[in-house]
Amino acid sequence: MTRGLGRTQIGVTAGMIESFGELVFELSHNVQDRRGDPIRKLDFAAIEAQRAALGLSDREIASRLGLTHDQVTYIRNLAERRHFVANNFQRLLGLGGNRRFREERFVPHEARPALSETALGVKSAMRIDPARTRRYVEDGWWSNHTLAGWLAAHAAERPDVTALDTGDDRVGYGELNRRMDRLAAGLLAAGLGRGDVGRLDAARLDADDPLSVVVGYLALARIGAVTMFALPDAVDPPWAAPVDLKTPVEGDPAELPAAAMPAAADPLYLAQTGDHEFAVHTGHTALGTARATAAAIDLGPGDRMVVDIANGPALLHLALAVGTTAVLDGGDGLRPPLWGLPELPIALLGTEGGMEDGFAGRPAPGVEVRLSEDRELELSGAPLSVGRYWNAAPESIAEEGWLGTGLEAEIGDDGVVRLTP
Amino acid sequence: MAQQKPETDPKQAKQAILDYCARKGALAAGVADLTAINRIAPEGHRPADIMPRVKSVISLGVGGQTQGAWTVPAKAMGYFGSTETRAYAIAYGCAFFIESRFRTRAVYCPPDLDNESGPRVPLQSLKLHAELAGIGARSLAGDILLHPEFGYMYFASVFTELELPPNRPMAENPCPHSSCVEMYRQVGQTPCMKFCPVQCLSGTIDEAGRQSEMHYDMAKCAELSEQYESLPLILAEAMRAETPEEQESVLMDPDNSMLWYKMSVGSGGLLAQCFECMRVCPIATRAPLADPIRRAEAAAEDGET
Repeated sequence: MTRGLGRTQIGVTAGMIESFGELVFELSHNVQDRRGDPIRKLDFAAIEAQRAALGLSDREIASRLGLTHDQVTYIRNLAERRHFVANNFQRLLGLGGNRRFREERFVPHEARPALSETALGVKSAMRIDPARTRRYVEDGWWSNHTLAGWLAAHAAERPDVTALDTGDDRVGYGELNRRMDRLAAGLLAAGLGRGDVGRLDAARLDADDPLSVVVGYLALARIGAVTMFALPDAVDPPWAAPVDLKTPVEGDPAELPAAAMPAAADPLYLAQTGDHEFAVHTGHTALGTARATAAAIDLGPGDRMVVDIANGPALLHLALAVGTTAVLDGGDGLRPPLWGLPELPIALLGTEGGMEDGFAGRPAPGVEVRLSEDRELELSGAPLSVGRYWNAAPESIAEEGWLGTGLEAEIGDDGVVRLTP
Repeated sequence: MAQQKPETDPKQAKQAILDYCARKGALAAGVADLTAINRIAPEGHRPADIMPRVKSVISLGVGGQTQGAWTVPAKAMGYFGSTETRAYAIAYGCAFFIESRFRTRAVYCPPDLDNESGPRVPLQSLKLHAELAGIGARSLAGDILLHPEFGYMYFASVFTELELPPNRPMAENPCPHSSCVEMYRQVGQTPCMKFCPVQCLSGTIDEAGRQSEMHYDMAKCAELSEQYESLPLILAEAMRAETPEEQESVLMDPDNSMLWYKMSVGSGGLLAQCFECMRVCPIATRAPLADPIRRAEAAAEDGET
């Protein structure tokens, strides 16, 4: 309304707003052009000559266009609302002090990328019981651990310690951090972004090049993308982008925006559990208990641990958690007896003498175990996957937080779990 | 029987009024030429549209924030950067002073928006009053008035039926500063143009280093400084939302929730400026008497000499 009058009383139609809107907007004070300094100089002739450029009042516009005053006021206000970009106020955030706006560096908010459909799908598959979330956070399992954070810290503290050993090649933590950043920048430039899924084909194409697979995984994680670890004979899902590890395109790490830093609560990798089903692991579930698990198996800096990346990244996480060497070619190194499932890769830490008549071990840090009425082993805990993606309904991966393993077991008074052979 | 008004000498009255403004904290004050205002301001926005028998328009300016304020983040500056309420308080008192001393009607000019015109049209142009009163000149920064000694000020006006001799506008315009001219010669922009977050300023400087053209996209500037204009858009977007999640996001996300806070407290962050053009303006920030530190140092020097 204008002065209490509605459109039909003022005589404004949608067509009039379209026809006159821009003209009224431009003639008004919304756009102001001044030549010279006529008001200060009291140059009234120049003021009159520039009156329209300086911005006309509604009454003056009405007189010029043959509209009524009310019509101009109504049309101008609607045009102003339509022009208004509410998000532009947020451009001020981050400015001040010595920080100035730089148009050449600024990406308008509306031009910044949103999560892809796949990324949103994976995130939507995450169903985490709030009570579990609270407990794992309070217990200290779920915090802010990220692979990029670990790598950066190790690169600063022990750059020359070997991080990856393939027999032919040894890569220190400093160099690994740089390779990760270069490939991450290349992946970002190639269009992969936060939440997107990259397929490394770890068990197939690149089984002979585990170093590239590890760097690829770390680079994807660095930009907040999700790595898909597929079974050897799996069908390639359409939503996973193949990452070329044979001829990787690297980029300038300086181009990595701060916004590309991963968050621990976001998906980190997908572990295949069926033809069309993947367990979703986040930084929380994959990394949160890694240091405690490494300590439980006496893995520390200076050790070497054998890591078969084709079986998933869980052992790699242990090595990177403490800054030790991951042996990728099956050479000499620790081979701790561990048992788990894709949904919970390190569930049990083997105990001595347990392998002769079936696996026996104690629950890994953060892991809880129980038996069902049918003596089926059920798992829960901080490292348990937070959802299933693709062909599965978006529901919790485990009923009431417990995952059935399909395996019979017994739990001794000493807490040791013995899987029935 | 009503008392007869005392005889009033216009020059003495003007001086008494300007002295009052100075005593109350105005850095500058003057009287604008009413005839000139009426020739320049459009119908409906002239002093007589507020006070039918107005004979004089007094304009006064107060200083901006402290020197330290220029260092704070933009998001904080929006809340407290402007000091216009001090100017309004002085103008309010000045109107009472005129009525009590000279027994002639006076009114504090409302600095607010015109109810009939929507949220971008003021009742009166305080800028025009100040410029004609000789206490500021239009800058390349969207015609924000600048003063060669006090830099960047906030203005208020008083209308009175008392006849007072007007001042002249400033003889020289301090904008552009010599350093801005130098930058313009190199990159084609002055600091205020270059660092505007929505690039709403442009213009040219002539061979003599004076303003030749000033272009101001006020509508873009409003996106930074009139955040209340977002509210109808947000409500419209919420009504268009197709899912409860979208609606919740529109109405309750952090950015939009903040608007309701700002509305409820009448916050400067909702109504005022973004300050980025003034933050880089050498006149606004480094004029000889631009802030309390500079004024105190100048006063100390005066005391020594």
